Amino acid sequence: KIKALSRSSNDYVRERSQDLHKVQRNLNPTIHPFEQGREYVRALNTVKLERMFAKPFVGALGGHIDGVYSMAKHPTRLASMISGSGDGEIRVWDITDQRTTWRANAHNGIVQGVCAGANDTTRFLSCSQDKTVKIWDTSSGSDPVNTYVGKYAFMGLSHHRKDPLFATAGNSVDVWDESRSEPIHEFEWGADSYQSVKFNPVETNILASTGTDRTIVLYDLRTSQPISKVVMTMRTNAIAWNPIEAYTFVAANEDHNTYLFDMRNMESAHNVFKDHVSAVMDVDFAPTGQEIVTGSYDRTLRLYNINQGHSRDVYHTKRMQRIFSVQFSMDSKFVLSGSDDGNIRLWKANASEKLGVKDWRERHHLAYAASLKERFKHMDEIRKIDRHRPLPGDIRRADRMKKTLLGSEKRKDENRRKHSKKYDEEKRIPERKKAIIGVAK
Amino acid sequence: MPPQRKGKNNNNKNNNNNKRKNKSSFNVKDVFEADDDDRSLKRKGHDLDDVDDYEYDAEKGVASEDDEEIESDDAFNDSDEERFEHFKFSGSNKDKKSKHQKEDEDELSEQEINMDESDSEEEEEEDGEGFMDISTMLDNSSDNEQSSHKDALKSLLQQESDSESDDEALILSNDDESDDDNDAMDDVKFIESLETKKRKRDETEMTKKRQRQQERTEVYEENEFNLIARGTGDHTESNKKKLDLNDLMDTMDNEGTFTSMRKSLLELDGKGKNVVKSALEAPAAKRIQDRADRQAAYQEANKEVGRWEPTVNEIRQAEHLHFPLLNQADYKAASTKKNITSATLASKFSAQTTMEQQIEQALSQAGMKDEELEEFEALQLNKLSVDEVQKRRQELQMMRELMFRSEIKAKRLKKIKSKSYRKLQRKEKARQELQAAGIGHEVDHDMDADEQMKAAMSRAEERMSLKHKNTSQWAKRALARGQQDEGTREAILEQLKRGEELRKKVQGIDSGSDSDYSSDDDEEDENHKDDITNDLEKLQNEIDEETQDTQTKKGLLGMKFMQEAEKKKMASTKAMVDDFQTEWLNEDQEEKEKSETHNGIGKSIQNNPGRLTFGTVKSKMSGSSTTPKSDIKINLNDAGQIKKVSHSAAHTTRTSGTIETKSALDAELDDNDNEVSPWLQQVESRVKGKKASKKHNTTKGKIEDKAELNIEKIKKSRKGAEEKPEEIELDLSQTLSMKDKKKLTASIAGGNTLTTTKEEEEEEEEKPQQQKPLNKKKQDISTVTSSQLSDDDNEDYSSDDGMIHSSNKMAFQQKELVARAFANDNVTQEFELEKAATIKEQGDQTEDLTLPGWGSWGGKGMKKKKNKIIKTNKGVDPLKRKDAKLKNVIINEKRNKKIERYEITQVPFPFQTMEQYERSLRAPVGKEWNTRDTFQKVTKPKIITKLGTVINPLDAPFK
Repeated sequence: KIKALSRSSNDYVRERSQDLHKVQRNLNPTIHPFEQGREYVRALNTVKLERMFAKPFVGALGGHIDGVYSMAKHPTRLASMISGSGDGEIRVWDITDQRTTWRANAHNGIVQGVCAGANDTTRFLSCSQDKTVKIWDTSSGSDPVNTYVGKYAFMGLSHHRKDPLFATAGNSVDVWDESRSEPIHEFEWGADSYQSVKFNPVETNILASTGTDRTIVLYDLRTSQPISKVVMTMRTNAIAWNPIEAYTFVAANEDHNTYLFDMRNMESAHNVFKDHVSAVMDVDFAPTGQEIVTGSYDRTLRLYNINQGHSRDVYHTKRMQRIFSVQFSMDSKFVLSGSDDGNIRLWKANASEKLGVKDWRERHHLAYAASLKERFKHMDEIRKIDRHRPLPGDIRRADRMKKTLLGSEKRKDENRRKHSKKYDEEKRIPERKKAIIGVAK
Repeated sequence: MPPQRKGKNNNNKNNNNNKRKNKSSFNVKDVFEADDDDRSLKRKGHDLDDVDDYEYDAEKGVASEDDEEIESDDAFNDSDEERFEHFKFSGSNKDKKSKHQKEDEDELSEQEINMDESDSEEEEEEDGEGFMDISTMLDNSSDNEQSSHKDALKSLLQQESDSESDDEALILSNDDESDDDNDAMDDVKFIESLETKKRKRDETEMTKKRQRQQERTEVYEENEFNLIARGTGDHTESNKKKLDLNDLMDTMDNEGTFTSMRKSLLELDGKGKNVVKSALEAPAAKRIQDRADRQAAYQEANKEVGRWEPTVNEIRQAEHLHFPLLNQADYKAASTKKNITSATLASKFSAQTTMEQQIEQALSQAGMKDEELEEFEALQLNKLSVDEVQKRRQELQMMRELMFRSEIKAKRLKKIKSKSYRKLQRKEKARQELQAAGIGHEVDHDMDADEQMKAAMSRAEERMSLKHKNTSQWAKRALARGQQDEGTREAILEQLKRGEELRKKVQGIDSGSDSDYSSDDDEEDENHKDDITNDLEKLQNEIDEETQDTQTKKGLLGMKFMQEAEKKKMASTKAMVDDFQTEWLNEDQEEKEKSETHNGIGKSIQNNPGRLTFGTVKSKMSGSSTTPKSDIKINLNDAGQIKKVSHSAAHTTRTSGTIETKSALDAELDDNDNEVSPWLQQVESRVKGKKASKKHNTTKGKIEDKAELNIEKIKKSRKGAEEKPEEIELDLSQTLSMKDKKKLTASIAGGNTLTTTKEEEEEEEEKPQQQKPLNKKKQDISTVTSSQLSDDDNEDYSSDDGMIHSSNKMAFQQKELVARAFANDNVTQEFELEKAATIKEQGDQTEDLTLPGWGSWGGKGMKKKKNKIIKTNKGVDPLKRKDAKLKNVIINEKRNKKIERYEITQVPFPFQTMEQYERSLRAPVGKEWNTRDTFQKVTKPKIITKLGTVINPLDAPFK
C-alpha cells in the first residue's frame, strides 16, 4: 500500500456559512516552544528590515528659480499644493504627477506666505514683502482676483478655516475681511514686527502670532483682543495648531527646539522636541495630531511623535539646503519640504512604509511586526538598530559639539550646587520651563 | 491698542460729552416747561433746537407782551425766579423758592438716571455687530455701590414705564388732554391713536406729535392716579412720561407716617441728608484697562476652548484611533446600527404579515397579550387592601431572601475542599446520629480494640501532621477571609484547641482536664512496654532454641559454611536484642524510678523555660520542711538556668520566684555551651541578649524592686573585677540563694548544698570587706521579700493547679537529639571552604601557555626556564568582591556574557518595576500562541488611517 497525500475537502470546507472556521493550526504550546526567544528574533529582524527598507525620499518638485520660502497644502485635495518662492513666483503643484499645474509671477518680493481660501477649492491667497496680499484663482488665469495693499511688508498669512477672513503678520497683526480693502482689526502688542500668524483650525476664532520680541501672542476674534502673550528666550519662527486638539500648538524656536504648548497654561511647555542642531524654521502638525514635522536651518527635517522628546526620524539629502517650510500631507502619509535650493521634496512620513495597497495578510503581518518592535524596543540590540540614522558629518559634529556644550553647562551647574549653598538652594528649572521667560497679561 | 479702537473710544467720549451738554440744556428747558405752560403754548408748532428755542421764545415772549406796563410782581415771573434763584431779592417769597429748589433737585436726579441709560444704549450700539461686549464680561467692580443701588431702584421703578412703548406714552398724554370724566371720549381717542399709529415712524415725527400733545388746556388736580406728564421736546425718548420715584414720593408728602420710608427710599436713590454725593471715579489708565480687558478675554477664551477638554482627553486616552474621526452625528449613526437588541425590536414590533396579524388576533382574543395580562394582575391586586398587599409582598420577599441565603450557604459549603473540614463534618454527623440514638459518650469506653487502634492511629497521624495547627492552606485562607461562617470558625477553633492540647502533651504540660487522658496514655504505654518485653522474651527463646537446633539441620542448610553464617546471623540478632534490652528497658526502669522520686513536687526540669511556674514548687518548699533533697539540689545546682529563667520574656515579672529552680539537665547543657551546635546557640545568645534589657527592672512590683536593688548594688560593686554579664548573673543567683541557704541550712544539710553554699561563701569572702554588712542586711530584706513573694505565689497559683508544668524528658531529648544530629556537621567550616573556592574560581586565572618540551632540556645542571608564557584571565579581585566584608554570605560574581545581550540595566519608562516589565514581555503575541481574534486584537495599531483620505480638523460642535 502506498501512502499518499490525501486531503478531503470535508476537512476545511464549512457546511454552512454560519459554521465556525476550523482551526487549521495546532495551538498546542509544546510544539511551539521558546516563544519569547522566537519573538525577540522576529522583532530584531523587523527592525533590521525596517532600516533596510527605509527609503523615505519620494521625489523632488523642481521649477522654482529661487528658494521656496512658503508652502501650503490644499485643505481638501490630497494631491494639490501651493508654493511661493523668493523671486515672487507662485506655483501650484500636482503631487502625484510631480509637476506644476499653475504658475504666476505674483509678487515683486519674496512670497512670505501662501494659504488656501476657505470653502473654495480653487482660490488661494499669497502675501509678500511688496506690501500686498493677493487672492488668486487657479481656474481664472494668472491674474489676481483681488489685491489688498498694506502699509508694510507682510511676513505671514493665514486664512480663517470657514469665514472669509484672513490674518497677516507684518508690523502688526491685521485681520482682514476678504470683501474690504482695509483690515478690520489691527493688533499690536509690543513687537516691532511679527513673522508669522496662524488661525486655529478647530476653535476658529483664535489665532496666534510670533513676534520679533521673542513672543507668541494669542488673539481672540470674538473679543477682538490679544488675549495672552508668552515671552521666550529666543524668537519663535513658526507655529502650528493641533488639528484635533483645540488648545495645543507647537512653536518652532530659534534655540533649535520646538515646544508644545497648551494655550490655557503657557507658563511651561508641555513638551520639548529636541535634536535639531540649528534654528527650527517651520513646523507642521500631522492631520492625525499625533506627529509633527519640523524643518530646520541645519538642512534636515525631523519627525516627532508628540509624546516623545526626541525625533522619530530625520530626513536629509546631500543637495537639500536650509529648509524654510514644511508641510504634512492631508492623509498624514507624506511630508513636503521647501528649501533654499528651490526644490520641494516629497518624503514618506514613515520611511520604510510600503506605498500602495496592501493585502490583508501583509497588513496583519506588518501590524504584528510593529507590535513586536514596540514590545522589545527597550532591548539594547533592537534599540540600537532602530535608532541608527546615518547623518551628514557636519550635523553629526554639530550635534556632538552641542551635547558637549550642554553637558558642560550642566556639569558646571551641578558643581556649583555641590559647593555653594546659595546655588544649591536655587530651584532646578525643568527643561520645559527653561526657554520660557514669562507670560504677559 | 490699535489706532482704530482708539478713535472709537474718542468718538465715544465726544458723543458722551455732546449728549451731556444736550441733556443739561434740555434740563434747563425742562424746568421751564414744567413750570410755565404759557410759553410752551407759544412755542406750539416750533421745531427748533431747544436751547435756541428757549432763548428765542424768551425774546419773543418779551416782544409779544412788549410795551405794556407790568407789575413788579408779575414781571418777575416764574421763569425769572428760576433763573435768578441764587440771587437774593428783598421781599421774595421763600416758600416758593424752596419749592422750586426741590423740584429742581428732582429733575436733576431724573436727568442723571436717564443719562446713564442713554450711555449704556450708546455703548450697545457701538459694540454691536457680532462682537462680544467686554463690559458685560467684566464685573462692574469700578462702579460704586451707590450707582448700583440706583440702577436697581431705577429699574424697579421704571419697569412699568420702560416696558411701555412710546406709543403708549402717547396714549398717556392723550389721557392728559382729555377730561377725566369723559371716559367714552377717552376710549375713542385711544382707538384713534391706535389707528393713527404707524409702525414705522420717524423719530422726529414722533417728537413733533408729542410736543403737540404736550399742550395742556385744562388744569386738574394732581394726585397719584393722575400724574403730570413731565418733560417735553424731542429728547424725550427715554426720560419722559415715566413713573418716577419722585412721582410716588410726592404724594406721600403730607402724610407723617411715610416720612421714614420716604427717607430710606431717598437714601436708596442716592439723595437725602445722609448720603454723600461723590464724583465718579476717574477711568483707569489705558494700559491697565487694556490689561484687565485682556485678562477677561483670555479667561473667556480659555473657558471656550476648555469645552474641548473631554473630547481631547478621550482622543488621548483612546487605545485605537481611526482617522478620519467620527463626530457626534456619525457616532450616533454608528451606535444605532450596533445596538439592536431583542427588547428594542419587541417594543417596535407591529404585526405586518397576515400570519403575524392572525397570531396577534388570536392572542388578543384569548386575552394573552402582555398588556392585558398586566391589567388582569392589576385588577386582582386592586381587590386586596393595601396592607394585605404589603404583607404578601413582604412575605414573598422574606421567602425569597431566605431561599437565596440558604442557596448561597449551600454553595459555599459545597465549595469547601478541605479534607479536615469534611472530616469534622462527618464526625459531627456521626455524633449527631449517635446522640439521636441516645447512646452518648459511654460508647467511647466501650470501644473495641479495633476502634481503639484506629483512634490511636488517627491521633498519631494528627500528631505527625500539622493538621492541628492553623498553618494549613485552608486554615490560612479561612483566617484571611475573616472566618465569616460559623462552621469554619468552629473548625479552626477546634483545630487550635487540639493543637494546644498536643503541644501541651509534647511539653509535658498536663492540664487538669487532660489528666485522666494522659494517665490513660501512660497505662497504654506500660502495656505496650509489657508487650515488648514479652516479645523480646519470645524472641530470645526462639534464638536459644535455634542455636540448639542447628545440629539437626541437613542438606544445604546443613553444610558448615551455611551453618556458620547462620550462627553469625543469630549472634548478631541476639546482640541486637540484648542491646535493645539494656538500652530501652533499663531506661524505662530508670524513668520509672525518676518519676517516682519526682512525683511529689512535679517536674521542674524544663526545656521550655517560658512555661515554668514555680509557685507550687516553692510553696511546697516553704510550706513543708520535709522537702526532698533532690529538689533542693536542683534549686542550688547551677546558674545557667537561673539566668535563662530570669530573663526569658514571659517571666520578667517574677524574677525572685524563679530563681530557686534549676534543672540538672540544663546545667549539663550549660556546661556544654561551648560545644553546642549553632541551633542551640541561637537560643542561648538570644537569652543573653535579653539580659541587657531594662524591662526586666521596670515591670517588677515594689517588693521585687527592693530585691533587685540589692542585686544591682552587688553587681556594681563587682563590676570592677568581673566584666562579663554572665558572671554577674551568677552572682545574682548567689546572692539570692543566700536566703535559701539561711532557710534551708536550718532544716536540711545536704552534702551537695553545703558544698555549693560553701563555695559561694568563699566567693563572697573574696569581695571587699566593707560590703559585707550591707549585703547581709539586704539579704535579710530579700529573704523577707522572697518569703512574702512565695506566699503571694502560693495564693496565686494554688488555685490553678493546671498551670503547674511537669517536665518531660522527651521534650528535652528532642533538643539534645538535634544537637547530636548536627554534632559532626561542620557547616561553618564547609561554608568557609566553599567561599574560598568560589573566590578562587572567580578570581584571576593563570594559564601556562608554554609549550611542553620546547626549550626545556633534560639532564643535570639545567636551569629552569625563565621566560614562561603565562596568561592571566582577569577575574574579580577578592578584596573588591561584594561579599568581601560579609562573613556569612557568598555573592556570585560570575557573569554570563551571552545573557547580557538580553538584559536591560534599568526599568524602561512607562514601567515602574522590573516585574511589570517582565510581565509585559511574558505572553507571546504571535499567531502560533494565540487565537486569531486575540492576535488581531493585540497587534492592532494605535493609529489607523485610510490611504488617500483627507483627515479634516475637528469641527466645532464635535460632541
